[in-house]
Amino acid sequence: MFRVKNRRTIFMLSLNAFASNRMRNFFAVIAILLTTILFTASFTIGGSVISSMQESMMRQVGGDFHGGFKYLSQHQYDTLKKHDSIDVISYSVILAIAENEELEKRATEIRFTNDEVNAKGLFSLPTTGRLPINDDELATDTLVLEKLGIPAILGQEVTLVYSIDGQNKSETFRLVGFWEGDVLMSASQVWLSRSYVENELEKYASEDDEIIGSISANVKFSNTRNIETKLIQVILDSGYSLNEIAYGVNWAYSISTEGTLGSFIAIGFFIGMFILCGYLMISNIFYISVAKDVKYFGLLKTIGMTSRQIKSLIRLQVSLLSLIGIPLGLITGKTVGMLLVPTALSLINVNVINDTVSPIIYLFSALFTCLTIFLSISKPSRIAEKVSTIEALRRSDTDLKSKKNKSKRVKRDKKELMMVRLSKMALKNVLRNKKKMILVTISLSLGLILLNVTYSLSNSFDMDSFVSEMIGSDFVVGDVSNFNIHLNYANQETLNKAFYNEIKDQMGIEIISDIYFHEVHAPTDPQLFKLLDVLNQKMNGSLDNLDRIENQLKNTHQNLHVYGLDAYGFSKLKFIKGNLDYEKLKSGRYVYVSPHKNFEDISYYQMGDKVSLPDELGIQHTYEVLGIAEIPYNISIKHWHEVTPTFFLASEVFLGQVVDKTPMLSTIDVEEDQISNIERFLTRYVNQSDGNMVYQSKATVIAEYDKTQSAYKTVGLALSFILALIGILNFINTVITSIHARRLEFAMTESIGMTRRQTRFMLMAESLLVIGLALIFTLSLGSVISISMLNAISEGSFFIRSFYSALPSMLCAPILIIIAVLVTLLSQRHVYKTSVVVRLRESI
Amino acid sequence: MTILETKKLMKIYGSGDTEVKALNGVDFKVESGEFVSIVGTSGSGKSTLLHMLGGLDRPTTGQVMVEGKDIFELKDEALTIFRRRKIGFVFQNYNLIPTLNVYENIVLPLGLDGNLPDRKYLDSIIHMLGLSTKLWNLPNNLSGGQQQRVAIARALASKPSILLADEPTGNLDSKTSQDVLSLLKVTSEKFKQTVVMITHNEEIAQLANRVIRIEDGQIVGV
Repeated sequence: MFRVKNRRTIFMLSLNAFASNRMRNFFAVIAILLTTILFTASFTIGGSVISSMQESMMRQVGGDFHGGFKYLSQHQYDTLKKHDSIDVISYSVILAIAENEELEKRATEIRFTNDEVNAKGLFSLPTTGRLPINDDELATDTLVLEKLGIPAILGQEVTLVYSIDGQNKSETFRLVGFWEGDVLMSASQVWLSRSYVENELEKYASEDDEIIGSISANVKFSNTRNIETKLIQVILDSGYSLNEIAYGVNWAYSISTEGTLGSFIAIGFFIGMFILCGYLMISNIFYISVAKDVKYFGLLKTIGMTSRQIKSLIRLQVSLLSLIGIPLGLITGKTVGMLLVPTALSLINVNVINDTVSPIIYLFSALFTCLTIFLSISKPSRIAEKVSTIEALRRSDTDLKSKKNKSKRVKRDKKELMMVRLSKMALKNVLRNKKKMILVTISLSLGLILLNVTYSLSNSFDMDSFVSEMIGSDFVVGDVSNFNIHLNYANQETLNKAFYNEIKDQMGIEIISDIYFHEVHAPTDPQLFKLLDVLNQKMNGSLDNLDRIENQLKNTHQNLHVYGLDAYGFSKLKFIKGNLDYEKLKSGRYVYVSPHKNFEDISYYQMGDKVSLPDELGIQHTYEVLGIAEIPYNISIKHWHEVTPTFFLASEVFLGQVVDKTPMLSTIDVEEDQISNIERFLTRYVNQSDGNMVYQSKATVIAEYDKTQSAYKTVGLALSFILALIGILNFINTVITSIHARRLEFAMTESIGMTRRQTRFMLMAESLLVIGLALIFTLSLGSVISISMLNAISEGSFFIRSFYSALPSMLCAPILIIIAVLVTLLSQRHVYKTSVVVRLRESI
Repeated sequence: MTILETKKLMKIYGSGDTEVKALNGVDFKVESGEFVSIVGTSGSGKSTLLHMLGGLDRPTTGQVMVEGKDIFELKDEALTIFRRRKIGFVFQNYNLIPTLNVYENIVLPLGLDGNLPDRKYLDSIIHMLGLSTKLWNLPNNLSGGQQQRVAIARALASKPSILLADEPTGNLDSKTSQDVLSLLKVTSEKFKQTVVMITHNEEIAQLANRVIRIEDGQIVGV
């Protein structure tokens, strides 16, 4: 084989063909642009959502380490840190919690850190100044300084109050470093020097205190996959058992790394749909373009161009078009994506916006677009390659496929023979290129289908069930952490007593029902192991966090959730087995249990089982299970593990076993005419007196409902808008190019007496037929797809009922018809600029 | 009776240096039932003349009278309607509609007018042109000669005043050409159909009752 130096010629030919195909170029660039926008915008939104969630969680968790080991001795730390899999490990040692009065509302931990890496990983590295070295030095964040009323200037004196081993201490230090504090973080750090902390610990700390003076080590691995397994591996490999060393995973990483099968399918579905959309449009454009240029390709072949050369001719043109379309699409897509990020984030209740998306997404977007383009042109370019020289010169768009048209015998119906109806011609014209017809129909339908789905979805929100599930009473009050599932759980947050008492004094209060809660540590009940099999069976072996459950069960102790409810609170439960018998419950010998959080039919215990629960002092109490009941989400604790046995006791019994008798939450029912007064009181209180207290009312829930609904609408409408745009452009392109390609045909019919008005009528009939087909497709198969999609969505959500309406697609029909009429008129006018004689001559 | 008459027909393309006089004052008459051929070399203006006669193109000056009426007084839309009622065209490249079968192609001009075909007349044309067995075929499945016969049938279907044929045998081999021409001739005689045929072939031209010669846009001999 020898290479012919033909690049220059082919390049010249491509440029030539390129220049003479302005209309095609315009549409192709738009198509490529839109495809790129689809990819870039979705990747931008997806990327931002993940990074925002991650950042939000990291800040709440208070660090970007992958995980950590807690309460270590120096010897344990030194052993663990040698493990090969650990990339970065550093630690800090806690001396005490600051007890300055001013810091009552801001948890402030007094520690030393062994290096800057650790401080940085905890988002607590001084940005001004440095970490302390000498005994009298201190570094902390601006939040702490603000609370203490100390200006953020290096050299300021800071007095810390703390207690160690029962001794109260008050020491003054010099500020040598500070950084911007973050309210999202659950605690602030005060760094002291290592020498000071070690001295203090040596002097005072008692040996048996597990926390004070222990090492908290933070680690990073080479990647974020299976962090928990790696942590466990480190512990086991170092010769310790899981009972000796506690570990923790930074949950922020679970968002991106624990991709479930479902989310992969969803992502795959969307990418697939975008590729399909882009494919429908781009391939249609090139299909038309190749059909139009078929004579040209035939001619090129006649004069000796090979199929390969024709292929590269097309490739070159496409590359040129992509060179314009893709960069523009990346920029526009990013802008569109960024605009939609806040809406998308509000859907999942994340307030932090981190839109620094990795540039890799642009690479991916470009790659996916290129893939789409490549797929799209492969068929048209094959057609061009296969053009046979003689045939091409005879061909036109009308019979691109050389397949013999079967002569269909039409019944010799008198009526049918009487007149050749224009609409019949239109139908024939539409059907003569079935592939093109199908492409255009589907691409028009996609936008319509998605529009229907969006509309149906936003209308299937059932406000009543949303409200009743979210709030069963007029008001629910509690600590902020009880309402925001993203806030780090710091054991039992409870109601502020002052707040609670003030509420009680309000006018018009009918019932205040207190929800008590605590989490207890109890030896693992061997009976729970059978759950593993049941869960596994339930999920058909596809439970991807089975390992985690297994690990959790291997721990000798479990976290149990125990609620204390009064009779009114119990009346809000959903009883699955057994009935409420509050009198029996009050005896203190009975308990109700909750089924598994995700599976109503899987219960940890059965009626009649005997269970043993420790109280706060560790004394075991035995109860008999009286029934199985579920607690509504709004009055439950907002966190749980995969295996969390949950128990409901009568409040009287519960209160007899705990020291802190403040409820976790209280539900308040008030007289009808006092609702707005109470609402005003609560708003004022949480805004002015205590920002940590939060209340929910029907009004706030409805507002939240509206927010969710409108967010769904915005995202859905944006998506359907882009899809609809693609469909419509595809349609316009088809109409224009086909009218252009049929110039000769129209000249022919005109010469034998078909008036322009008749031609126009026929063309419009063709457009209407396509629109009609798209509508039929949307209403038939599209409806089936939509309904099954909507059902899947509504099954997974308590406040979305099954609802489907194809109304939006019907409403779109007039718009499409107007577009069809306008495009037909305009392109027909364009054709008629050339006289019929000239058009006829073109054919000869 | 004079069915077709041209008066000082002029068609000028371009202006100044690039001015081309495609037709330079053409005057002739065609009587009803006549078979006239217009013969000329390539570029002589014969196609332009035919387009004018059929109302496909408008002259710069001059008139074309069909049945005593100046057709260029008609607006475009009316001219098209005039064409489908009064003129039957037969083109060199047949110009059949590829999506319609033979029968549908033939009755298309009638259908466009909303008229019912005269079944007896239509049958006789179809029979005479030998298309009876091909009525349900699509044009692509026909030979060139067959396609041209369909075009002739279509041109005759609406019983036009004049049948205009533009190099009707230009794309056909000599044997088929003979067939098509004799069919034209026969139909002209049988249906008293006025035919104006354009050709560059002297021999073919001789088939007509009368031959009009055209050169450089002017009639040089009758």
